[in-house]
Amino acid sequence: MTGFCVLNSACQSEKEVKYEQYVITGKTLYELHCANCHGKNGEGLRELYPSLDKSSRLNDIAFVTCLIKNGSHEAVETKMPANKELYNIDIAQLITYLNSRWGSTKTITETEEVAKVRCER
Amino acid sequence: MKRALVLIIGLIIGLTACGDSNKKLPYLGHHELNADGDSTYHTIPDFVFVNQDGDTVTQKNVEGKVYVADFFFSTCPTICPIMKTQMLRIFDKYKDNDSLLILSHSINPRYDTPEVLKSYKSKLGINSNKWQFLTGTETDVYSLAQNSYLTSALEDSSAIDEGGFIHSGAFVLVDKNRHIRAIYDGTKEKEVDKLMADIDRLLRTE
Repeated sequence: MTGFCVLNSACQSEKEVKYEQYVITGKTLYELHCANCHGKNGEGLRELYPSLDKSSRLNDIAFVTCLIKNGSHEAVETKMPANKELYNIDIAQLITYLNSRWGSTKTITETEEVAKVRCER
Repeated sequence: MKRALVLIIGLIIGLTACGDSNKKLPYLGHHELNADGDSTYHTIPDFVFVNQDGDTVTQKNVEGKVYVADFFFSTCPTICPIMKTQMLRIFDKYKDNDSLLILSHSINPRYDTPEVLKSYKSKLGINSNKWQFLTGTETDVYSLAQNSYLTSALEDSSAIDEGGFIHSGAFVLVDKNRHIRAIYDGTKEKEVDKLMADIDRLLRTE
């Protein structure tokens, strides 16, 4: 693959390929862990589950990482569950996808950036 | 047991999926012959629940109406949001039609008090008596789900990912005489399309 890319100057750079991979895997993870409540298109469900479309904090890596890891207890009945089964790389791919789809920053979120985050709980 | 139930529901869904749009919907459940030799159909028995406003809801509230029944709980993290998205489609389509009702039964009545259901209903943006959110006792709701609505609902503390309860995502279509006419998978858009076509047919022909 790398050899092919060297030959073909129109081919994506290694960095772009990694970004695309994160977006694609992130989409699969999103549909598995998040879409039930937030909707396949991030539309949410009225006032029960928030839409991601208008979220201004998607590029706040610390905030989103801790939200995914610990969930949220803001809404009583429909509180967001903690996703303890997700690894840092999963969260990095998820955040990359969220931003590619609904955020303003179309750049990769690296696993190292997620690993650095210290959540309160 | 769970697998067998899923299989039965699958079979029922498969059976109801056949047939053209003018054909009469079948009667599901156990049929019996009465003293005159006529078929009597499986009927939803009398029930007593409390709704989101603390009012009592019984079979009298559905008298002469076609209704759709489902089972859910407010803290359900898995299929309930999808079921509610689909149920909203039904609600929106029939919101001005007095012949159709929706009954959503909580299978976690200890937590889902009328107050909790009121808040859930309001956050869903429903301000109408057409869609009732019901709570009662565990025994009543599980027995009703399994024996009367031919679907499944159980508490199972090992089902951690499901929020501690097991239930099917079925939408049950009940006619004006409290007979079950079809059961659909309420998590699938296409199944709900068919449900709405069948509601139209029931309202038009019976």
